[in-house]
Amino acid sequence: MAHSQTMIGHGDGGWTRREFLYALAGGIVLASGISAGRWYFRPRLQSEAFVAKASDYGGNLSGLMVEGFRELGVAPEEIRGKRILLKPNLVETSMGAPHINTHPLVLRGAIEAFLRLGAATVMVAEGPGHRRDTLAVYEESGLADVLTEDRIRFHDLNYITGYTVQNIGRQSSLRTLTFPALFKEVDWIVSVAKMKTHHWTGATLSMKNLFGVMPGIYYGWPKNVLHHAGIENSILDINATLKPHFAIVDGIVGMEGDGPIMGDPKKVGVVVMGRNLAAVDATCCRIMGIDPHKVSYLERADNWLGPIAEGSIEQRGEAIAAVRTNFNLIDTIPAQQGIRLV
Amino acid sequence: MAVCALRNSGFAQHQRVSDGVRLLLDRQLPNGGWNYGNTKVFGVELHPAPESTGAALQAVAGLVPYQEIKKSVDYLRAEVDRARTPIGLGWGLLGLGAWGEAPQGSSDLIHQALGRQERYGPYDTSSLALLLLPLVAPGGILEVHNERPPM
Repeated sequence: MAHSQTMIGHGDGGWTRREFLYALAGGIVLASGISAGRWYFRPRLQSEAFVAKASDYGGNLSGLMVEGFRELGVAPEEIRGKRILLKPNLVETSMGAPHINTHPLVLRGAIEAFLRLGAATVMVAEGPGHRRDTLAVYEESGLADVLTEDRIRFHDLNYITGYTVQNIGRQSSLRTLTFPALFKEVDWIVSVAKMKTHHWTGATLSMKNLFGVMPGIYYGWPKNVLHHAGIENSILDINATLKPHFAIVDGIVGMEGDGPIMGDPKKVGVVVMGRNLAAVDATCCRIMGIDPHKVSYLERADNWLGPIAEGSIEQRGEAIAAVRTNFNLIDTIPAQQGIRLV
Repeated sequence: MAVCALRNSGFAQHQRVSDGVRLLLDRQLPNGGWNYGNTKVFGVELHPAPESTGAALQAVAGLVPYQEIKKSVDYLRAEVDRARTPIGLGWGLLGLGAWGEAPQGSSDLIHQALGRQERYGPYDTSSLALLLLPLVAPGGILEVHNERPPM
């Protein structure tokens, strides 16, 4: 008798094609069910964010940050003897527009705070995204005066030797990422960002700030390779691979509207800190009147690189509602459309 | 950079030089100078930078009418006096020099910039070379290779 169905396998235990397809379909359903179950039942990540009021840059910012460390459980034993690298947001300089960059006095506060907790060394390092002339940005931002006075070393990450590692994030097509070799010589990488809206990503905070660690001599200006690979994909890849240790966001005077360069100053009067960058950025978004779930890269980072849901972030210090200051969003900029927190 | 390299290597007539010059003029900011590429984002004109303006002026020197780059020269002349860094001052002086617009006292500016190593430590080799180059080639980098026969 001719079989109408091709046998898969041999002998009495062989399967017909129909049986095989049923089994295959069942397997797929079972596997996807397990996968969905794992996703659904995956424990929610939890983190903390500390919000402190700081009405201007002349206050005791180091004391405020030491208080933040205490609230966040960063004990002196954890910092003692560590080599700390602070990565500010130095984009460009423009006369009369200091709100483009992390304020130098916020960096001084962070330096003093880490030293008070016993850090062995603190250094500052940045590879500005737009300007090839890092020294000009370093000087004109006012940071050179502060760091020279404090005898703190500044490293230009744009013209620095790199080391290459596998891209753990795998969100972009980049198989590897090249970071500054300097990073092998430090214990903590701290993103000291600026609170700003952004015309491509909605908001730029501690996660986006890490674009600046990618050396210009490998990635171009303004980090062309990363822009080509997708800004949001690259933000996620960099953070997933680098695994930064801490975030401090300068929200004393931020930038609203057409950030990260051409926007207007926005006085908020806060500093936001935390161990988890996604949680810190989500908190900043809420302070800015932005829904972090509508900022695409933060939504994609949720429960992977960190929590962004309000219920998953324990707020220390000031309540968000007490400091919320809606940032101006521009209707004609797609990344800023429909992201207002309601 | 590619345009400069081709011109320095005797390929001034190459099609890619013409393409490069056309691209650079297209990316010149309406109010003068060059940024890092774009001229406007969401309708807002970007800021010029001395280093990119100097490099672009150097690249197009002698290949386009002066009137087409006059605003950029004006911007750079105003800016170069306060530029103190090897990259900004070096490219600024080269770009202006290529158009015969190098300011009086260029040498003093360079020496002041050299003196700032006391504050920042020694400049790396490429930055130092760029800063010193306008002393050797006050009329721009094409002067350095102008003996090279056309290929």
